[in-house]
Amino acid sequence: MRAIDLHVCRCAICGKLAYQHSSGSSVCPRCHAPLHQREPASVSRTWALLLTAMVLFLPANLYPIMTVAQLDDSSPSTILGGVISLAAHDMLPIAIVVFVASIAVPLFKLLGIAVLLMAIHRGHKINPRQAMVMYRIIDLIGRWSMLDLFVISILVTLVSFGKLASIEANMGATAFGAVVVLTLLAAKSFDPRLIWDLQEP
Amino acid sequence: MPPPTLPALDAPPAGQVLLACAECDQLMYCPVRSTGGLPRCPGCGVAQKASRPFDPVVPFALALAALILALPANIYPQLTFSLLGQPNYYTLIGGAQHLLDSGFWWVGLLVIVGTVAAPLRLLMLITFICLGWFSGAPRGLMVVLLKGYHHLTSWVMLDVYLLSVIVSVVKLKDLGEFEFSQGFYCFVLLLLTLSAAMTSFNQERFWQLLEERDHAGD
Repeated sequence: MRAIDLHVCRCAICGKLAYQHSSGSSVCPRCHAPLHQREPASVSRTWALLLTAMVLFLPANLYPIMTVAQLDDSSPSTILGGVISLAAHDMLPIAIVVFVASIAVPLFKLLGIAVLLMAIHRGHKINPRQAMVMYRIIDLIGRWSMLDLFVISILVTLVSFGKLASIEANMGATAFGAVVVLTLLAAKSFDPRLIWDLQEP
Repeated sequence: MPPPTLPALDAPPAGQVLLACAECDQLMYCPVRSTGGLPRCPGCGVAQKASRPFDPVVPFALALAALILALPANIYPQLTFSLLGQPNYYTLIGGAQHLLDSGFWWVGLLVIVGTVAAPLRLLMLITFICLGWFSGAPRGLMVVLLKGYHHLTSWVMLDVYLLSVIVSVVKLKDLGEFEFSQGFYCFVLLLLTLSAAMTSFNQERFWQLLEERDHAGD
């Protein structure tokens, strides 16, 4: 038995169960947050955040995220360039960590949320268990993309020796930060119960 | 208008509570306090965290310890990197400040939220919520604090920061001399106590406790 079948709402904030009155909006008797059977406009809001993130994903990967300057030689590097140079310097394990956190995870999130949204749009009966595994992975790994931004913050501060050697942040970092935040918000605004609603006859 | 209640559903057996799964909307009875593993949703299989045994004293003690550790972890430099005998120091706020000064306010803001603002705020919220619970604070205040906790949890990124320190060490180790300073050890302890405090703080159960106390007071 699902809560929606009995016209019961689960409060999104505190988990309290309450009957939904047919007319008008109601608030949670325990925490006074507005009650909804499903997150209102969950699909369109998730689409909006997701599409913005997809657009910003391009400059995040095409523009350099930081510039390493040593004496007269200055070399800007993109996210992928950083991974390749780590791998080329015999630091394969760390290269894999950075690749997963900075490229694989954002890409998987963008595509994964898009797949879930498409399924809801078309009313496909997708396998709910597989979809939930994907949703949980997306929810769990999203924060780890912040890795590269923290690395930039550490490198920029530690390597600032004027002309001798310095590392500076570039435009790509700003775009990448926006991608991380937008995909986090998109995963949050997606209501996984909509996947289960598809299974109803 | 009286708040809507749930009269028509069967009353749950003693020691159990009626829940709806947050991920699939399945209704189920769960034990209030499950000692042998968490009950799982029969529909989608997600663990129901509300059944974790919970005593507000434990997160309170851990959050206080973490708040004390947060002082040296934020004040002392965590990393030292020197080139030709000239050292540079990294503190959490200093790093964000450096980014803000060079015009990357958005990245700097994210760094300061993830590593300083959100963890500190979360620890203070746990401390105040538990203090409020022990001292019988007014219900409205508790609701505001608990909602704040609910929205804040996903912005605490100290574990990600720890991994980024490891990545930075590997990137810098050939360029100059790299050292961990006393602030970093405090930070590792802060991360451990903060994670323990967050794990032991059962916000789902706290809402139930608050409601039970209200009913007892009526």
